[in-house]
Amino acid sequence: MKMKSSLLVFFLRCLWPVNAAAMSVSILFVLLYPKYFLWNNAWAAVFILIHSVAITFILGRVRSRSFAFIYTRGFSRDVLWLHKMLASVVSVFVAWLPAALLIGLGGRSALQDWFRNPYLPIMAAREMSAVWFWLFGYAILLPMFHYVWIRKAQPTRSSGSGMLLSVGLFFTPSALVPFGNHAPWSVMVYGLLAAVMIATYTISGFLLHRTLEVQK
Amino acid sequence: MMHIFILLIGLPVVVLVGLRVLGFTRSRHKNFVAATAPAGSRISRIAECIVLLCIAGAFYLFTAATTYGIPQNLSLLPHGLARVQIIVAVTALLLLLGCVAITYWRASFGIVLAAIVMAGYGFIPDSGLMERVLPEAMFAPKVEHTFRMSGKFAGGEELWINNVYLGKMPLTITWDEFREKVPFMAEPPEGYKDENSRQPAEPWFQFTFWETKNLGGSRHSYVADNQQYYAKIKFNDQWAESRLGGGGGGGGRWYRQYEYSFGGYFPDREKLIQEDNRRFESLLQKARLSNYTVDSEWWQAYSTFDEGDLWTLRRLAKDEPGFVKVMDAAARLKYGFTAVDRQTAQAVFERICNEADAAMRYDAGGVEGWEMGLIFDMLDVNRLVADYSKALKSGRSLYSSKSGSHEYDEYWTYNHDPKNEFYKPVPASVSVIRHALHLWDKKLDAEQPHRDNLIETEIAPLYIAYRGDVGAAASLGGSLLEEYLLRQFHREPRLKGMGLDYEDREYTEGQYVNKWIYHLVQLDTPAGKEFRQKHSDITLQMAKLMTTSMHNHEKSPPEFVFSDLERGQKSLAVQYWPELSAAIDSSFPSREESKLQKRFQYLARMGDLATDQMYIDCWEKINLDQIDYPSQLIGILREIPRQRLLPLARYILNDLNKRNDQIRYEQEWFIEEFENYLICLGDDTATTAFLSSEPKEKQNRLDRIRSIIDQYVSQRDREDVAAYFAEQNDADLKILGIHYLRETPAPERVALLKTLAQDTDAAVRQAAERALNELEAIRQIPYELLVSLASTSVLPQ
Repeated sequence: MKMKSSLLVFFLRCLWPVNAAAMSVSILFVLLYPKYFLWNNAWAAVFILIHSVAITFILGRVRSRSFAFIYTRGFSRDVLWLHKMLASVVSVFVAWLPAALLIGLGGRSALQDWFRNPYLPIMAAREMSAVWFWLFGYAILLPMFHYVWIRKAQPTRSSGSGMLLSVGLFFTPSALVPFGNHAPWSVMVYGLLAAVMIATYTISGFLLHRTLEVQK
Repeated sequence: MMHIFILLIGLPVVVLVGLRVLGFTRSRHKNFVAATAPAGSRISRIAECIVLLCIAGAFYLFTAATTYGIPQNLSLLPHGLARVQIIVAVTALLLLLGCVAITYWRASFGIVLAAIVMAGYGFIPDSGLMERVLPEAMFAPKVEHTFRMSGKFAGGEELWINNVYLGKMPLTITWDEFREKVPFMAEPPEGYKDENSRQPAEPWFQFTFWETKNLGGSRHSYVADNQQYYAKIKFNDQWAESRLGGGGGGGGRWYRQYEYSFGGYFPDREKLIQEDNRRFESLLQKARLSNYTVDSEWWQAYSTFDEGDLWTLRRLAKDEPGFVKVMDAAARLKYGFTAVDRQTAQAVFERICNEADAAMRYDAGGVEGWEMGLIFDMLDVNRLVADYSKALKSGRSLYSSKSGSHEYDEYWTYNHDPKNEFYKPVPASVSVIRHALHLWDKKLDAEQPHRDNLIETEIAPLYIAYRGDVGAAASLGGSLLEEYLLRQFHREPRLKGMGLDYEDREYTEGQYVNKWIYHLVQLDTPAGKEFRQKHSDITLQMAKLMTTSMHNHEKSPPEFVFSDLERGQKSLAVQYWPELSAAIDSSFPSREESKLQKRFQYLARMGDLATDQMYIDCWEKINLDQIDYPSQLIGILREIPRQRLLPLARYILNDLNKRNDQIRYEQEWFIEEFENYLICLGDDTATTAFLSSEPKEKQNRLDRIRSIIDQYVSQRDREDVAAYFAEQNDADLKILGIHYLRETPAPERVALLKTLAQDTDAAVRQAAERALNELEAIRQIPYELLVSLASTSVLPQ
């Protein structure tokens, strides 16, 4: 499989309104958020959820004209899948990287210190762990949502099971995170389970993408 | 707010998706899949099974291991209930695996079924359902009672309770076993009552036992109920005399533990104890006789005693500073070095760390803690900071528990035993590092009080960021912390109340106060001082809150009111004095002498700012008719600085003479006893009057003087008293002085004894020579005869 920059640019062009909005929001959010970021920050979680849904929605509209167009230009299914994934990763970094740099290099802390925010700079030491967790959030949501549309476009029944599992995945952390008494080993175990899910969604998405039906 | 937002958005989405997937709502697009098409490909089926397994697995593990109400350690659960929990967990696991199998066949159906199983498993173990279905006895907590004898050489004593022989102590027995063996007795057992006394007949005694009772109906209603039980203790065919005992304990919902400690006197054992105490005392005398210079032989003998840690020496050092030298030597001898260089310091530090890790505890007040004080500044502070930062960021508990004494609140013993701890603590060496860092911080603060040091810039912020422990950060200080507290104060300036947000409040003395103000007023830094000056009204209000709180029964003032004494009349201590004096009127204990003591303590802390008139005003508030014994007054006067004591005591004596009609019992004796105290303080008028008294009366008063010195004069002041007595032209006083000189024979006291051995009075000469001979005999005792009996002999069991 060769990298086809024009294909990547095509997908990124489709995504640019979403990414432009996401980048603006993420920068403003990171600069102006008046408290400090922890890994379980609900606003960040909502933002990542919406951004991931938007990315996969744009890349996975199987009934759209652009979709039908690009799938009939002679690219193999694997090339199309790879470039969609690359476009998704670039989109993530467009929103995540400026935020990560602002936090990691101290820009947010300095600005908030200037605003005389009581939490910063003292809590800045802890914010970087939230930044990595946001990346982890994207890593699990994007393969999952990509799987949802790929599964839905299969010529088989029970096409909604992908969506049902994503609902389960939405509910599980929502139910578990508020509890404070997680076992010390839980982070490692949950991380391992998440890694298995990411790998499963990615590999199965890749394989199923070969058999999806393009309709118009 | 955010959770409501998520629920408003998330729930409708979830419901819509569910309806769509289950086919209750239709898509606007025509379904192109044939009705006969398979329900997913092999790949999708496998993928969905794996994902379901992961999601349900996370839920399952959380419920099985960490759900509220279910102990993580099944061994702490009552046996039957633990078995039920295991059965439920295994059943849920099998059902879950079944759901995964169904998912392979029909994904939507399997997923919904798995959700139902998980919800059920999450709900059943901690709901009332099990309580209704299972027998009530299954929910009874496991209760253990441990009985032991206190004191030296304890162990092996036989215990009877309510006439039932239970075994040799220390003895641990479960409540179920105890209940089965020992009957409750509404009336004492035969032989308990003594016809001639209100006390029980030998060898019986009564103690409070904590029974476990169910108040009925609910598994939450198991309570401890105290009942009187009757016990007797035997050791080596001797019944315990002067017996007493009691205990207490408690625990959680599933496991409770009660400890009972009995005191008692066995004639044979008492001889051993006396000999052991004599040996220990001789070791201390040897240290004094050698001008507090001790060698390895001394340390080897000393460390064979139970009391052979540093605590005994620390207590002695309060009155005899020479023992600080002994503590230094003990620490060096234990760790085997004389001069400190970087390499030795690092080696000793590592040894302390290793020993702490092996013992799973670190005693900052023990020899190891004292040793740290000797070597810390030879350790690499950057490395200490890096290691401690790692521990703070790890998220693990910094220790499992800590204990200390009111006597020395700066020294704590940190326990790092992970047993029964849900969140495993870091190794005990982290407490060693923390101690070293605190010592470094103090040193750096003393060198450059107005500049942030490495510990303040690196560690204090981490305490807040990773532990939310403002108190620990405040103990280090630093401008980052100060700025943090000040900004938080500007954000939330309200002083107290439930209206404060969770993050803004601190629970102290039974009330919620503003956390930021609470720490700012106590900050022992220039910024803290500035805050207290700038916001003196808030500071005084906080002091008032902390003093007048109903939980502060004694109305003890907070430390920070004494932090700016250099400001003279503008100092907080002076401004707060009227408030505190008024608060003391309603303090507990409410006895007159107790109130006077609290006022004198405060004035003593004020130092020179407290005038003689302030002391006199306090004295004049006292209702003399509430004072039964002069010793109550004499005990209080110990609080007063030595230089102010004599004039005030003279004033009190004059006042007692004036107000003698207010003294309830034996006015003359009361006043005479106070005169005796004045003699101990070196008052010439009182001494002259004493010396001119009749011989019989003089002897009687001499005994009372001795009693006053033993009870109310500190070791440090006894030296002055002995020197004063030695100067008098009276053989009896000189002989009493010799007694106290012999008691703590540091070289200068031995020199005084030698002078007295040349006295013109034969009785004085003899007494001094006897004391010198006794001391010489102690000096000559070989160390092998001074090791603890516990370490050398096989004690009878």
